[in-house]
Amino acid sequence: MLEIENLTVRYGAFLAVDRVSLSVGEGIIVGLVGPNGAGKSSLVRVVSGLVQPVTGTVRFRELPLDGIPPHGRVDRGIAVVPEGRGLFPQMSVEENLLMGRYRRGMGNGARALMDHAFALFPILQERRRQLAGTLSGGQQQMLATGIMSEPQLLILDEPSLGLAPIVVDEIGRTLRRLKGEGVTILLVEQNAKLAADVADEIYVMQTGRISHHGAASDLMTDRSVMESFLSVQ
Amino acid sequence: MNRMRASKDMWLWISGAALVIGLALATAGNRFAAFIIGIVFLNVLWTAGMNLLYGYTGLVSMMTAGVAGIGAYGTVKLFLDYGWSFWFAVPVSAVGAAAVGVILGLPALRLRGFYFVLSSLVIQVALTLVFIYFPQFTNGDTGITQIPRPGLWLPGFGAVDLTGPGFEIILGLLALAGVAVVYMIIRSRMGAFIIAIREDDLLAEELGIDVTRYKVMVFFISSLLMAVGGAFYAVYTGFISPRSFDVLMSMNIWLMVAFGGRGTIAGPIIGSAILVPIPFLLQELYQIKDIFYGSLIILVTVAMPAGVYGTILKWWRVRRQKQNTAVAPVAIKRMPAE
Repeated sequence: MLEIENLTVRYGAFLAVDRVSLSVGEGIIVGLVGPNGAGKSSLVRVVSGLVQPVTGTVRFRELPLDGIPPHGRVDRGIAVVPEGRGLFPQMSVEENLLMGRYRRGMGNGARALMDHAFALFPILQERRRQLAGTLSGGQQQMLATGIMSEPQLLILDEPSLGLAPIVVDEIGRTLRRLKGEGVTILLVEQNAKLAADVADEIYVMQTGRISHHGAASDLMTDRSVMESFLSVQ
Repeated sequence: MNRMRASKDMWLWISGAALVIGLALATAGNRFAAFIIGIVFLNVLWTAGMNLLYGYTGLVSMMTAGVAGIGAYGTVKLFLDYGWSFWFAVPVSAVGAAAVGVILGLPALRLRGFYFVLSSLVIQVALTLVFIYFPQFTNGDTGITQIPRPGLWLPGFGAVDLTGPGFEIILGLLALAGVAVVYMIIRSRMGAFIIAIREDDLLAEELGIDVTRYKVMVFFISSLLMAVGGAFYAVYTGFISPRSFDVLMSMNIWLMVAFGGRGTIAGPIIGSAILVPIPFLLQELYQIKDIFYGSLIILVTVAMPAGVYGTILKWWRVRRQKQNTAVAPVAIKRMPAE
């Protein structure tokens, strides 16, 4: 569904992503794990259209995404939940969800989808008139905003960041449920445990390059991978 | 609910119109006071446009005076040299000025934050130079004097005299209309999107909001308000020159929005009503006039960073929230474990 080929991203002299190729098959969860500064978020920003790569192509459903602005990518069915700052703190929870619905119109579908999001995250239903910035568990809200555009591909950048383990488990369950509904997911994570729990396939990224790739079950039993992780975490 | 709000709004606009007409009629005997009121009305219109741009979308434009100038010069040219009706010249030149503003501002609108401010500043300076160095359109530094006030013929009223309070009434209703336009935009879906752009433009972009398109739309609408204000300024004061629309005017309009309360409907009105009359009223004290003006601005920025009305609004919200929690304390709920 998503094919990244030979992707290189530079910020001035700094090489953030170095000739990375990665593919996400339809209907599965792919984990992209790696330590801080490995270039994961740069890769996400290329897919969402905020950063232009030096070389390489990104294809979504066989079509190259070059030159397509971020909103055009949302139209094609890609939703990105960015790292950390994915909310408008001065808006209510409900308004935040509607922002995620922008490209698809605000008719009855929006209401139904919001109810769906509330079903996934009951706490949001209770607090829907509250300002988003006053709630803990912002990642849940961001995830809920992400699915409001009915994406075919949902890209999550560090959804477990700063969450209590019990809430991380909750996020994991939600991702599996979304997968069951037919959403393809690219999960970008430092938390290798979450990725191992939910992903079907895992890519390991270190200093801008993919160092390992394989089925989640194989990779997590691979000592060398685990050690390279344990040593950096 | 919506109908209730609509009827409440209706009453608000009717009382606004009554207030505007009342102010114009009350000062009719005193031309000096009437003139201050008229200039306040013009600034309410200008600050409404700046508020949409700066207060709600987060764009600090320093070229607003230049756009007002294009509207003013365009209208005067069509009105005096080509013999158009003033009432027809205003919309034509306002749309023209807004289009020119958007074309000039388009490269800048793709920039963010401080870079947009700088680019708009450069455009403003360039526009001032155009006003000076193209005397065939603007009469250069000398300016255009003795611009007559237009006549107006209303069905049912016949010819309306616009030399007296009639013109202040028109300026006041125009200002009210400008505020109403901004109010309606903010209440609409578009309002939510531009506020999203102000809060976090990168995130807005990632969620699929076409940020540049909305910025251009907002810029066009606010430029329209600026240009209409400029056109009426020309016939109201009877004199325009490149100095009338220099960067100081851009800064003053921005200042009134920040002073009154950016991103609130009433704030810029309050800012204009307080700051516009000061230079007029302190004319006798010209030695200390600017010191007083400057001190007041510093005082407000330090003590009320959200502006006069913005701070009052915040204080009132906090108070109301405290009362609410005192009546019904919000239970602290755990995140659901399931």
